[in-house]
Amino acid sequence: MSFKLKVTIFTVCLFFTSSIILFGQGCGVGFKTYLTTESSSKALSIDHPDINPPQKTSESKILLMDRLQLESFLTEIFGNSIKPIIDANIRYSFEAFGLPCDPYSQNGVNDCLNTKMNIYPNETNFATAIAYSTYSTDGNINSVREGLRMNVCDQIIQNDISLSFALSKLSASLNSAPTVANLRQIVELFFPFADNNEDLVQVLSRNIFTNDFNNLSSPNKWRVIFLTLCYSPDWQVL
Amino acid sequence: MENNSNRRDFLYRSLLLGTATMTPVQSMAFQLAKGLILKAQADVLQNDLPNYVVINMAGAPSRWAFDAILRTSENDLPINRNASVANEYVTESNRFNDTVYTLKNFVNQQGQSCLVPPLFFDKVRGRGNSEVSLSNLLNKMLVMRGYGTGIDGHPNNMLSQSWPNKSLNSIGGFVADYSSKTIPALGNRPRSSGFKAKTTNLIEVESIDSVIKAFLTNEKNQQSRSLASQVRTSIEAALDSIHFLKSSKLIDGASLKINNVNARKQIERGMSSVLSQWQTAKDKYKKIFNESINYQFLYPNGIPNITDKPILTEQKSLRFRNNGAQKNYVFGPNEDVRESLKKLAFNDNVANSFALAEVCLAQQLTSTFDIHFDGYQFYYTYNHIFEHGSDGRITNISPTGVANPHLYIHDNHATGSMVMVGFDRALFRGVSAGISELLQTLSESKDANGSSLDKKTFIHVTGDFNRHPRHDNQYYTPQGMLPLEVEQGKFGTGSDHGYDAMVTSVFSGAIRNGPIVVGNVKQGGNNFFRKGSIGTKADVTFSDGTKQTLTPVHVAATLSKVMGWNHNPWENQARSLVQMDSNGNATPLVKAQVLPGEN
Repeated sequence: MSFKLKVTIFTVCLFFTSSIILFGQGCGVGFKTYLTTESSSKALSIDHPDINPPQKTSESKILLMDRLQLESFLTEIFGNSIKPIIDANIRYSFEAFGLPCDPYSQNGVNDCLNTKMNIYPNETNFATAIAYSTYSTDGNINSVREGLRMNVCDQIIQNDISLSFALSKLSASLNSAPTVANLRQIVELFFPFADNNEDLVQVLSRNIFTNDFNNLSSPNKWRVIFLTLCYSPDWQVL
Repeated sequence: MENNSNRRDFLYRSLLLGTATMTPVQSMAFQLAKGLILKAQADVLQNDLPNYVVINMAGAPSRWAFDAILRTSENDLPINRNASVANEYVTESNRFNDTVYTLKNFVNQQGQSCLVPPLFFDKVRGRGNSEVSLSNLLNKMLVMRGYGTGIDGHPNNMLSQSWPNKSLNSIGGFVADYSSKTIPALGNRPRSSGFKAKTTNLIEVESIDSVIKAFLTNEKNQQSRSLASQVRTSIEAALDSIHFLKSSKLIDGASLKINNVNARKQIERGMSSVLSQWQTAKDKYKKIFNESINYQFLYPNGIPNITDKPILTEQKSLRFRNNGAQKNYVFGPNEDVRESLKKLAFNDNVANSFALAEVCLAQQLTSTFDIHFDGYQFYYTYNHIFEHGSDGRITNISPTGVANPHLYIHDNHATGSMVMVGFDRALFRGVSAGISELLQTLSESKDANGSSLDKKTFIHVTGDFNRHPRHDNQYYTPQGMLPLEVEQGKFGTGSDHGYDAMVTSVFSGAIRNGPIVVGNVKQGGNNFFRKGSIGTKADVTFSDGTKQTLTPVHVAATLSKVMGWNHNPWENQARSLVQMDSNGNATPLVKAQVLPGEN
């Protein structure tokens, strides 16, 4: 069969198929009439949605906190004393955490000017600054991000002020021994929007409260618990 | 029969339809083809993943000095050359007063011969104070020419070079998606150069600090890491539990965990030695670039036909057009731009990018690296200032130590001028020296299987397009219409885009019988606008008689084959132009011919 003949046959088939689809899309009345003549069982499913609930067609992709959301989240848990640690690792690490410009920043466009805008380095307009920044606006997943974030965790838990700030939310202190109830409170800090964290608390209590853990001093026990939760990448998921 | 009826050819034609304004029928054909391409993507071999480095020279300096090889054999038809298609000067009365496009014969290790630009017989600076002949690169070189996009515009054409089909991954993105490296894609991108992957983003970096500071152990985090190591098993189990209960079922949940685990592995590995490697590599490339583009380091008496004589005669002026400023600069008689060439230096960002690519590839931190630099990053560092009168004529060139804005010719539009023959040779001497050193260093590094990394690494040199001389007469000097010879581009009315006369090249230790040149070009013509006038694309004919007009998709399909993939996302849309055997020998599947005809 010649090429031209194949193309002709294929084109006719495609045209016929697309015409039907176009008819359905563009001529709504006729298409709707066809649907309403379907069997009554489909009509039932409309009247009683619990019988055949619609299936979710696709999962949404993971959306992670951007650099400013991370700062806000960790500051909420550990207090303002962590600012130098955040600034050194997250606040200006646009390449790893995304969000080149925050249009609501109190620093104005100065925040954007820390991004890499080689074409218009002195731009003072947000729209242009965002347009010419080459950094992703998303909080994307990457290993650099994870390394920097864990670096922040390492430094925060060695800072007694920030650790005490977090413990005050638990009505605990560095020298008191952590309990399962405390663990539950810490899990709530990192997963505040979860409906039920109890399974996680039970599993973590078995994972963490081991013999090696029990041999640590109380301050170090707190540090290990906070470090474990902080190291986890999962609380960043929005 | 002129056209064979096969699936690939039909899909190719369907996709060509899809690139124009689509009717519903065409749209469905496009979607059908797209589906088959995505299926092909799933067939990619995951073993022995190659490294892909793209060097994107934004602004598109013309490539006559480098890989724009218009004739591969003396038996080819002659090119109807415009005077601004040039890579060397012609001497008269002990001065350069004209330009010429020259090719020299090179015989490779297999005894195969090919014409190449004289650049590849230059010496450049290697590591330390060594001298390297650029002919070493030729055996590793594949040139793809005679293709185009059919559409003008910097962004479109720049992106198309490494991301030819916007519904699919970019070439680098394709590699990154299958990469198991800690950071699959790294790069330095002043502008977007076209990276798209399904599973990862390209991390933009300017120094090694931003790559590895995340993984360094220092006095600030040492105590915590030591504590964590005491209860490591507990923490690992706890992290697994958290992930299982919270994110494991989400799309990209696995990616979230893998990146976290990879970061912890790099922290444990210890990266402090990389810092010293980076500093050494930075200094090395800075010296290599600057002593390669500044001819006097290796050629005290000048490079023959480039810098061994003054450029101008006393009778003629030298002009080039600064497109950005809408001015024509006119050099007075007796100008000698050799002094300017002595002052050339690359912007440090270029050396930094090559150093980053070297360290990150050699350390096997990444699989793709995007080196991106604009023309101005080269020209801006030229430490002379041009003094000019109110009529626009250059009256003096004085060394001031101040960056000279006049040599930032807007997006390289001055590349049609006589002076740029010297500048472009310098530019590509530097770039070639960098490529040579990068491959040499990678040849000394091994992967887990003991293979040299240069044989797994493919360096793709791209630009927006290949710049072409103008043929129009639209430009005026302050004195009125330029003389005829200037209108023809002889003395630099500037250049245009050449989006249908593109060329690109790939260098790799995996290629052993280069230079391989594929793609047909027309003899030339007088198209006055931007699609290109010399080396314009001409259809290629495969051995089964199928004719195709080459596009950047063919480049991607060819590069995929050269990189060792049996299947790739582009193969249904465009055939590979070469095939590779297991010994690294590339065999062209289409000829490199000069065909009669105008544009």
